[in-house]
Amino acid sequence: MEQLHSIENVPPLPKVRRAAIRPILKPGRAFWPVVALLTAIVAWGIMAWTVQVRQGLGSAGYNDHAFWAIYIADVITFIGVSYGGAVVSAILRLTGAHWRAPLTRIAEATAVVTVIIGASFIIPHLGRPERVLELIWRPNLSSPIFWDFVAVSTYAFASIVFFFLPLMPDLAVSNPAMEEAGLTRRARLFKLLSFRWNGNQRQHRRLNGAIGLVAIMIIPLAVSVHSVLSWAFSLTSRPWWHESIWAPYFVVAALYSGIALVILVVALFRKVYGLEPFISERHFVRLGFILVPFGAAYLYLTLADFLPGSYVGEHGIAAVFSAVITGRYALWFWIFVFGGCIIPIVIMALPWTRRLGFIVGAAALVDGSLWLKRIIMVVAPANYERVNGLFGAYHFTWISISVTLAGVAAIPLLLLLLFRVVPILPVTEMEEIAAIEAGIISAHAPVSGGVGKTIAPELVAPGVTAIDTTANLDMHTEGI
Amino acid sequence: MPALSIHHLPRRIRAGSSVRRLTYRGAGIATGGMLFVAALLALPGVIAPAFAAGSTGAPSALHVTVSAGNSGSLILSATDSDGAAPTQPVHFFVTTSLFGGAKLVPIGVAHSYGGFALSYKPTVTGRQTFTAEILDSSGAVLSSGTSSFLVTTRTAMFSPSETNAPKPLASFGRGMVGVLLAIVGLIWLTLIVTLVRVTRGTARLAT
Repeated sequence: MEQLHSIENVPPLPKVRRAAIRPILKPGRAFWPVVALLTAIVAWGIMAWTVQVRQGLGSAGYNDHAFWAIYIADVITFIGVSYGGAVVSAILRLTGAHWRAPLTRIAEATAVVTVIIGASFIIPHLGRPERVLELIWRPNLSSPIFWDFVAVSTYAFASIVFFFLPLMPDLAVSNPAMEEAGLTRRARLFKLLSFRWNGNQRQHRRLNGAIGLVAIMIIPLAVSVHSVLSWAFSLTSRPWWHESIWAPYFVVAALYSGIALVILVVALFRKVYGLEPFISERHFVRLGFILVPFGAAYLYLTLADFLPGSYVGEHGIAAVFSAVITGRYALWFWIFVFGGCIIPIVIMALPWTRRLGFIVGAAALVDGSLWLKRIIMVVAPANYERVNGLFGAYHFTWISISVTLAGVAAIPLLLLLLFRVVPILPVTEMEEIAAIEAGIISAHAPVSGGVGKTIAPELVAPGVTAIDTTANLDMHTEGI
Repeated sequence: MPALSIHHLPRRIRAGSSVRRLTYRGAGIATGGMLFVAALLALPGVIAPAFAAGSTGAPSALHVTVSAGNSGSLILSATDSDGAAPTQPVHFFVTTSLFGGAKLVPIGVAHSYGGFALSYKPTVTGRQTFTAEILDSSGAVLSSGTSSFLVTTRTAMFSPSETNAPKPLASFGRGMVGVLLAIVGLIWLTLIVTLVRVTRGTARLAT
C-alpha cells in the first residue's frame, strides 16, 4: 500500500475521456434531426398552451368536476421522477458503490432536467400564467401551494448544485480536448466553470466534502418536497385526498418512477452514444434490483391506502374507491397494478427475464402506469360530487395531451442539448475508481464524487467485478 | 305532461316565477358550486340569524314560514291556507342567481317524522326566496308557496370543525411558519456557501 500513487497521479483513461466528450465533438448524424423533431413537439405543446390561455382551462378538459386534472398529475410525475435520479445518485455516492460511476452524470442531469420541466407544469395548471408571480409577491403562507413552490425551488437549486459539483473536475480534464478541437467558446466555458481545477489533494478534499454534504442534504430534501406536494391534496377535505398515508405514498412513488426513468434515460444514451463498454447490462440489473423494493413498497402502500376506506365504507371514500377498483376508473387502475407493479417485479424476479430489453420495458411500464395512477388519484376525488354523490366527467383534449407530450419530449431534448455542452460521463470519478480497483491508488483515497473514505470494492458489491472492466483494460493497455 | 315518478323530480319542468328546467346534474353542479363559493366566503363563527318580520312573497296554497334554529340554521316549514300542517312531504327550494339567472335549487324534503320542518343553513346573506311544494306520486305539483326573507347571518355549509374541537396544531401558528422559513433559508444558505466555498477554494488551492 505504501507504493500506491496519490490521488493527484491517477492515470487517465483515454477511452473514457473520448466517450465522455463524443456528444460534444461528434454527436452523430441523427443528432440535429432528432433535436429538430423533439423541438417541434415541444413547440407544438407550447402552441397548444397558448390556445389554452386564450380559451381557458375548459379547452384542456377542465370543468366544475375536474378542477384539478392532468397538469397537476404531470407536475407530480415530472418532479417525482426527478427525485429518482438525485436520490439514487446520492445514495450510491454515500454508500460508496463503485458501479455507480458511469451512471451518476446521466442520473443527476435527468434530475435537473425533470425538476425544471415539472415545475414549469405549474404554469398550465394555474390557468392564468400571470398569477405565478403572486406566489412571490402575495404569498399565502397557509397555502400548501406556496410551500410546494418553496420546496420545489429549493430542491431544484440543490439538484443543480449536486449536478455541478462533480462536473468541475471533468470540465478541467476535458478542456484541452475542446481547445484541440477548436471549440474555443466551449473551452473558455470549461475553463471558467472548472475554477482552475488541477486535481490536487486539497482540491479533492474540499470538493468531496461539499459533494458529500449536498448528497446528504438532497435525500431529506427530496423526501420533504414530495411530502409537501402530497399535502396539497391531503390537506383538502375530499374523499381519498384527505389521507395521512399520501406523503409516504408520494415519496415511494417518486423514487420508484424516478429509478425507472434513470433506467430509460441511461439505456437511451448508452445506445445513442455507444456507451456499452462502460455501462453494461449488469448496471441495469442492479438498477432493476433497486426498482423492485420500491415497487413492492408501492404495492403495499396501495393496499394499505385502499383497505381501510373500502372496509369501513364511509360515504364519500367508499364511492370513490368503488369507482377506482370496480367502476369507471377500474381499467386504468388495474393496468397500473399489473403494469406498474406486478409485471416489473416479476421481470426482475425471474432470471431469464432479467435482461436489458425486459428491464427497459419494465421501466417504461412503471413510468407509464404511475402517470396513469396519478391521473386517477387526482381526477377521481375531484370528479366526486359531495352533494349528490355522483361523479362528473373529465376527458383529455388535444391541448392537454399536446402540453403533456411536450413535457415528455423536453426530457430527451434538454438532455441531448446538455450533453452537447458537458461530458456525459464523470471522467475523473471513473478514472479514480478504476485506479482504486486496479490497486493503483488506495481504496481510502478521496475519490471525486465520493464522500471522502470510500468502501472497499469487495464490500460494496460482493461477488461482482469492477464496474468498468474496459476502463481497467484501457488503463493497462496504456502501459500504466 | 307524461306521468313521472318522484324519482324524476329534478328533470321535470318546474312552474314558478319563471319556468326553469333543472336537470339532476345541473342541480348538483349548482348546489355544489354554491356551497363551494359559500364556503370560501363564509365567516368563521356562527351567530344566531335574525330575520325581517313577516314574509313579502305572495303565498298560494302553501304558506312558507321560517324560524331561527340552532347554530345559525333556519327552520323552514309550510302550512296550508288554513294554517294547518301538511300531510305529505314538503319539498323546499331556494332561488339563487349565483349560477346565471334565477334558478330553483332543491334544499331538502320535510317529512312527517321531522314534523314537516326542514333545517337549513343559509350560505349567503340578503333577501332569499324559499319555495315549498307538495307533489303527488307522479311528481306533479299539488300545492306550492313562495316567500322571501331577509337573511342576515350566513354560515359555511361544510365545516370540518363543526363541533368546535380544538385543532392541535393551531397554537403553533405563525411560529411554525417562521421556523419553516428559517429552515428553508438555512438550506439555501448552506447550498450557496458550499458552492462558493468550493469554487473559490478550488481556484485558491490550485497553486
